[in-house]
Amino acid sequence: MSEQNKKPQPLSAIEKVKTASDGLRGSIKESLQDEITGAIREDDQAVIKFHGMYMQDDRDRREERAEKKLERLYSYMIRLRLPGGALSAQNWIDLNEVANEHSTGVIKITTRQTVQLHGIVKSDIKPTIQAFNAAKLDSIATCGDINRNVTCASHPKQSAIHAEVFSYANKISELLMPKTKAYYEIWLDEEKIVDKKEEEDPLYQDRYLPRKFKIGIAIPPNNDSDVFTNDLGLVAIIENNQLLGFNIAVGGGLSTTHGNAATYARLGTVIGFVSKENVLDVVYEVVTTQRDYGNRSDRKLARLKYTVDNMGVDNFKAEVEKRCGFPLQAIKPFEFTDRGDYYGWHQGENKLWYYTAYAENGRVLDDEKTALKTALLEVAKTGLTSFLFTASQNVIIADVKEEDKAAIQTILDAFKISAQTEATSLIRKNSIACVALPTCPLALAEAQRYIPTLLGKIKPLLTKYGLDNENIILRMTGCPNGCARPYAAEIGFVGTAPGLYNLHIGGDHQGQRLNKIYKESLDEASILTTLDGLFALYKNERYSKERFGDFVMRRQLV
Amino acid sequence: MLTHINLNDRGSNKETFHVELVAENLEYQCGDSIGIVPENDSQVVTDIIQVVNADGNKSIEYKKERITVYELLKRKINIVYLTERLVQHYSTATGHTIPAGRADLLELLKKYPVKNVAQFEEILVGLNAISPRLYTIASSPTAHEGEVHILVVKDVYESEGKRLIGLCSDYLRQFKTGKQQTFFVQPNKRFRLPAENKDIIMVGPGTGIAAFRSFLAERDATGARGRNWLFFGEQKFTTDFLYQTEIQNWYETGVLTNVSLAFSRDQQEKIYVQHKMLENAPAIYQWLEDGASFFVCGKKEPMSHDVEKALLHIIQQQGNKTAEQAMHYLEEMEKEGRYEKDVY
Repeated sequence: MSEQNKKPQPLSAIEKVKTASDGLRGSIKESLQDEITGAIREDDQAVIKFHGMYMQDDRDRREERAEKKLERLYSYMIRLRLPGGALSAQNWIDLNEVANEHSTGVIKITTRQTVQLHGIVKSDIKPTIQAFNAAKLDSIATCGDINRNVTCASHPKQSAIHAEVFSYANKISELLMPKTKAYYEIWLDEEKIVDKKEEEDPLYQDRYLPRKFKIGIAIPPNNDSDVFTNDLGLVAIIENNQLLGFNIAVGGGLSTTHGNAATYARLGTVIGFVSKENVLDVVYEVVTTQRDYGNRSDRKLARLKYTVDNMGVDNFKAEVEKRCGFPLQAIKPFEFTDRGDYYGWHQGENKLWYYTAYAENGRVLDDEKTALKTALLEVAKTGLTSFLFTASQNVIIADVKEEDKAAIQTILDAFKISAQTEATSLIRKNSIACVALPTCPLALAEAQRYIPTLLGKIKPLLTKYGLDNENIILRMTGCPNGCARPYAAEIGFVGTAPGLYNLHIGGDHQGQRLNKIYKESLDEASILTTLDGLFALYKNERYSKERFGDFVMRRQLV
Repeated sequence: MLTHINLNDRGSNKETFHVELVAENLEYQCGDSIGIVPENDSQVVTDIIQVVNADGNKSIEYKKERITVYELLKRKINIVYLTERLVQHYSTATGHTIPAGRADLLELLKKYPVKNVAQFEEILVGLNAISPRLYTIASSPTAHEGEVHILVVKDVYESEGKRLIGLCSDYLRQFKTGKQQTFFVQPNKRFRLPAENKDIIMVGPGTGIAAFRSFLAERDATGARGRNWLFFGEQKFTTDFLYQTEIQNWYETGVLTNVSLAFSRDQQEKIYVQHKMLENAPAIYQWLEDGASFFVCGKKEPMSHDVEKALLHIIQQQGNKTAEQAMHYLEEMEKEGRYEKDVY
């Protein structure tokens, strides 16, 4: 045992905030009434995360506002809980309206298949949540140290039993919901419950989890949900069109900290198989094990990946089995060959049609290029579809009957959505970026605002070497926390300072091998020169059909 | 001039400038105003001289004083937005038929030319002198030693479909740091902080906040023990909360006991300072009963009247009084110097 583990470390400040929060109530109500500021009290900033929101401020405006003797331009981001990323047509209409009324108007599809709205001022939080509630939508537990939005393979054409697998996203989300009624009390003005037993929470108790907790489900052969980047990944095992159960992968997680050698990105380790009848038990006990064994003194070392590695994979597995009262079965074979979205029209096994539209950085808005927001609203108004969001931040117009397809296509044509989706280069379609500046407090460099420009400069390099048709997965984040999963990309950019990025290469295409750092703190010119060299090498020395990430590893470039 | 900053953020309907002037050894007290005589826009003056082909350096007599045409136009007479009477005078002098209404001198000279320079000079000496603009001082002699601060709102008004900008606010807005400016102190002997242990309630929406920034800075700097309650209002919280960070600091350090805010355009129904007063009726009455002074600063119409109505209502309702008794209560406060207005 290391010196550190011998004596108990003091709990982190956030741990005290959680236990003292009276079931995630904190002093949020009082904070909302502080009319002198657009901010909320410091402790409440941690507590509201559990209600699905972050306090942010426009970092571009800090200096100017300070000169004007105005406080920072505070606003709130609210993220919906949408297990598997599903939304009805009516809900899309509702969401569109809420976005226009209370936020910046941009609907942002996240890398975890949900949507979030930015720029909501303090006095608009309650009206926003109330409008969501009227539409039967909520933002419970979409941020904070708790199970987040559960992701699931998006494309129904993958399997006849997609719907059955998909239902597990919902079941898991429900299973791991906090029991506190604080959300209803604070935002929806429901009466404070008197009998605290009603909200006793055997899972989260009063301390919740040591850190955020992410769960994802994949259906081989497409790993579009990037299942191994989750704390807990479930790989659906299907035989003869029957869902047998899931292989369980634990300890995925990408966030790292620059300059902190103890932190690292990790992909989930598959520890066994469990039948679909028992899968919820295993999910639950993986969470309780993390609750009890996770590090609560250093938040940088608190994710499940560190718990698994500290305990050892075998011990961790044994603990989960002990808690379940049954052993995990041997891992079932599975194979991923792909990771990404199927753009355009595809027919599901259920005979319904699905159109995947490209949404740059997941941002649904009307701009000079397309009118995606209006188009999707028009599509929703037909009432002939539902919507699915993908882990690559795109939107699927879902469940379209054969006879309604033409009507939807007419709208997609009218707003140039089809044209835009078809015209978008592969490298763009295979890229994702996090929000970063100006709202993310963690950002060290640009991401979402910069990647379109950078891709515009990388594309000619690919063309130069005839690599336009290569599916190369490229991702960028403005900090090392990994929201856009840059460590699980064939080319990953991780911001280190304004205009500077670490370049990571060598991840595989399927999301089963992390990349490694190749060059540190490159500016744009160096990025382009470096990629030019790599693409030249790849063009000249690759094996037939060899993926870029695999080539990098074979040539031992990293 | 040290600095001038537009306190309103992007997206605001307003431009309110915090202006800091260096003024060594200036004697003033919280509650005083300063008077500034604005100057006309140099470009406009040059244009006028060009249009009539006059000699700017020619010395003429204005109010028993010899002055060059340029200096007269630049510093002495009002040449923008002339009154109807003056436009009429121009019409008579030049013999042009000019529709009734207000107009700028340059515009008149362009549209209705003068016969010769002599006629031009005759018109000039008939114009009104530029009157000084008074600004309530927003600084405290103790907290901001050697400086004087004012708050200047850019005065934009519509006239016959044209967007006009107030002379002085525009003048100050275009001010360059480092420029010299003459001004005078206009004392306001009634609008004074009470004894340091007395409570004060301050109602200062819009630029009315200026006087109370002065009060609060003074009370903070001198460690006055009396409680302070500020009512402030504007259009929007995000863009128009004048001196927000300073007010937050005073609230955090306890200088301000209460801050009540009314942002009229942040919700469907318009909320003004008088509404916030009514919401706080019991506490306001208790403060008055405990001897608090009540100050109002800002727009006379309609704000100060609405505030007085609300105050009377609070006194009547909370003190179980008749309308006359409430009026009497307020009059007594006035006599004791506990109800003071600086309105314009």
